[in-house]
Amino acid sequence: MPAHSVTALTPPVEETCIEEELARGLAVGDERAFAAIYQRWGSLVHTMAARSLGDTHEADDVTQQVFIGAWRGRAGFRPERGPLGAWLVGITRRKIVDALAARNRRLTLMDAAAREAGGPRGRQAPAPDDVLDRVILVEALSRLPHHQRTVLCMAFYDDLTQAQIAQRTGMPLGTVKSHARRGLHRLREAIEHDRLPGGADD
Amino acid sequence: MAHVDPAHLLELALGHPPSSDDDSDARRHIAVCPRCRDELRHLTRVIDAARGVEQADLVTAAPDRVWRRIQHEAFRDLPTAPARGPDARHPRLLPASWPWRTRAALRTRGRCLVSSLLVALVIRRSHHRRHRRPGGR
Repeated sequence: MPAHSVTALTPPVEETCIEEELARGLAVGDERAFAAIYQRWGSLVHTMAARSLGDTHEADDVTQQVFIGAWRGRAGFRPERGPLGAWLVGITRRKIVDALAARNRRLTLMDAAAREAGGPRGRQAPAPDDVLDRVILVEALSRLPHHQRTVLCMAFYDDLTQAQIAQRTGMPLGTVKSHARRGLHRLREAIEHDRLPGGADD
Repeated sequence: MAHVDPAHLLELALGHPPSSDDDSDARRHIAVCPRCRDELRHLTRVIDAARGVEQADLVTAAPDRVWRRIQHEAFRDLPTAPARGPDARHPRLLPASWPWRTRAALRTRGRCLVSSLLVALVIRRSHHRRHRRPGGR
C-alpha cells in the first residue's frame, strides 16, 4: 500500500491575495472594502440563509445581521485563525441557528396554544447542516480552477475512477490525482474551516 | 503501518468497488487508524454534499434592498456618509486605489458566479446520477 505523504496544500495565490486585501480593508474600517466583501460573499450568505430558513425575508434579516455584525465586530477577525470567507460563513451558521431557535420557540408557543385548542401541532425545523454543506460546496466548486473542477465532476457525477479520468482526458494519472487532491482540499476547507476551534468569531 | 494514500481514500469514499489486494489492506488499516478513518469521513461528507446538490442550492444574488439596509445601518454613525447614487444601490464600487487585478478578479468572479454554466451542469449530472442509481448514495 502506498504511503500517505503529508504535503501542505494552499489555495490559489490570487484568491488568497484578494481575501487578504479585503480583510485588511475591513480591519481599518474601509467602507469600499466592506462593499466589496458584501459583493463577494453577500449572495452566498443570503442563499445559505434562504435555503435553511425557507423564507426570503428571514434570509434578508440574517444577511443583514451577518454583515452588520462583521462590520461592527471587525476587530474580532483574526486572520491567523482562518480566511475572511470562513469567518463570515461561521457567523452565518450561528445566525441561522439563532433564527431557527427563535422560530422553534414561536412554534412551541403555537404548539401549546394548538394543544389547548385541540388543533394540529407545529412542525420541527430540520437541522440545517446538510443543506448548508451543499450551498457552500457548489459555490466553492464553481471557484475551483478548471482542471480540478473537471476531474472532481467526473469523479462525483460520472462515477469514474481516477485511472478512468486519466484515460478519458489524456492527463497523466499523477496529474489527475493531484488535481483531485487539491480540489477536494479546497472543497473540504470551504465546508469545514469555519467550524474549526477558534475558526470564527462573532 | 503507512497511512492510506489520499487517492486510494478518494476511491473508497466514492464507493468504487475493490480493485486489488491493496483495497483489503487499506480497509484493515482504516479500521484501526483514527487519522485515516477521519480523513475518509471528511471525504465522504464532501462527496455526499456534491452528489446531493439540487437546483435550489445554487447561489443567487441577494435582493438590492438587503445591501441598502446594511449600508444604512452600518454607516449611519460615520462622520461622512458613503457615496450615494446608482452605485450605492448595490455595492459595485471598488477602491480605485486597489490593484487592477484585484478589482477585475472580483468583478469577473461575481459575474461567473451568477451565470455559471458549470453549476447548471453539476445539477443536471447530479440529478441524472440519482435517477440512474436509485437507492445509491
